[in-house]
Amino acid sequence: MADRRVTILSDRALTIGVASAAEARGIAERLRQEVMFEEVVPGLDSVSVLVNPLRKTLQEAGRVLEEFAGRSTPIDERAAPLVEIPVRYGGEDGPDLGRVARACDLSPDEVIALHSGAQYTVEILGFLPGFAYLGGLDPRLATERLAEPRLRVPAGSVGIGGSFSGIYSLDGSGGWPLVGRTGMALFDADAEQPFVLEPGRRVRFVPQ
Amino acid sequence: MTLNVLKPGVQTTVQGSPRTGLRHFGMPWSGPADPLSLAMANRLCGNDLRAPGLEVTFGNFECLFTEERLVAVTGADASVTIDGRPQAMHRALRVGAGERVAIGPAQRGMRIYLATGGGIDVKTAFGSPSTYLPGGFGGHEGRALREGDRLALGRQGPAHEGDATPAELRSVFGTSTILRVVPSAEFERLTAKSRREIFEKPFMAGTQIDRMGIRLKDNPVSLRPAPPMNSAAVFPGTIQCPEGGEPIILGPDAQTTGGYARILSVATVDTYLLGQITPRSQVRFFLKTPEAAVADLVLRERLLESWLGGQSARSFSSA
Repeated sequence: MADRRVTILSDRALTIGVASAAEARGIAERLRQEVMFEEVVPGLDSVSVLVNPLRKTLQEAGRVLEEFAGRSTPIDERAAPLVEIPVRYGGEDGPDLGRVARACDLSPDEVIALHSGAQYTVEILGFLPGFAYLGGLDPRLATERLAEPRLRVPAGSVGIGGSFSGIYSLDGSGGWPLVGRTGMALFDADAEQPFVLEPGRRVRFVPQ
Repeated sequence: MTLNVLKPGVQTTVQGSPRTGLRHFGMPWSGPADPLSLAMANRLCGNDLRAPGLEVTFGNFECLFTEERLVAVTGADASVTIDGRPQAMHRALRVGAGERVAIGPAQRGMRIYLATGGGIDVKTAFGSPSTYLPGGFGGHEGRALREGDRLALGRQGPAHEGDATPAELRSVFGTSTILRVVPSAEFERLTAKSRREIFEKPFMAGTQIDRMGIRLKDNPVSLRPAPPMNSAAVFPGTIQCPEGGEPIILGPDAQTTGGYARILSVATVDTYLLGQITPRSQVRFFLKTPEAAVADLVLRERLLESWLGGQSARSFSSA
């Protein structure tokens, strides 16, 4: 996108293009301080907002969105909390470790070393509640999705999808090759901050 | 003090206020697919309009109350009986202790709502009592109801047996649905021919309709080629179009981001209708400007206010 014009999504939602997911997160975080929005959703290169149309007009929302996107200063994410996630690689926990290794022409140990050697950023959460798209994957590990998605992927599974790594926060179906699994609880339904992995957080995987 | 499930039907879930404000965590809204019908049922029981009630998909539901309660049934047309005695929909009905409420098959529309005085008493998950089936949380144990389930009930507030929704405010559902829509972000990706045909020809709702979305067939849509889109926000009511040309209208449990072209969005005033579109029924789009769509919403709210009070907007809003 990167089209810095406000575009209408619906009679109560607008979107604006930005340069990167990092910029989207920064703008979204500041927009969330404005109480006029019911949802503020960063994308990989956009920020979208939703209002109650009986209380706020799209024009009002658009002015605020444009203003905030216009004076975006990239947030310093080096200061963002680093979350260390213990991972059991391979075996039942990472049934596709061998497949990823073969596809990337690496040994399973090299895959583990590259995957746990990188520092990731939670670019966006989407797909399923708390599912984290992690940017920062070593390009040598970029892997195609499975031809047939698994019907049951257990919560905590760590996968690779294209140039992202990701963690399934809940049991569900999924098409990303799985290299490992963490036992760390990634959300608590009753907590005020329900998700450990918020957009912008930095992540490192620690092999167990 | 419980509602005991005798016949669960194909999919009955507890739904109430949606799980809003968390879409940046990937959290879908959930909540009733037809929030207006649940609001009407809650109104008759003296509840908050978004109190947790039962969403009964396709009907065929039966339950027993261990204590006296007012109940109301709204939404898709269906027969209602209390211990075999025929009852009306859209009416505050008194159910005695030990009596059974039975709801027949849905005739027109797809989802029936059963509200009880004081609402269904369930724990909230992420701030909402609504069931999100793919995540297995919210509602009653995060799942659809089964025979033998016992649901705790809230305390009956002030309400009047025999109260009925004014006839002119009752929604009527059928085998053809016209949805007011506004153009969305990727509307321009439609070919000139599709931009015309999408409003001229009817679609047919697919056979697989769930709370995630409704797939539309029989009127294939063409998109002009474009580079792949980066994942961006979608909302319930967003109409996405994958390259295959069969649009999908997103429902209350839909994902928060997507990479398909967002061609249209259902006007807020009509989103409640999405819960009542039945498989193989006809769907047509009627184009509105965003301003006209909001004006329609304001008019409808004014109409509802006399009956639902100032909180009528809460039937669709998260605030």
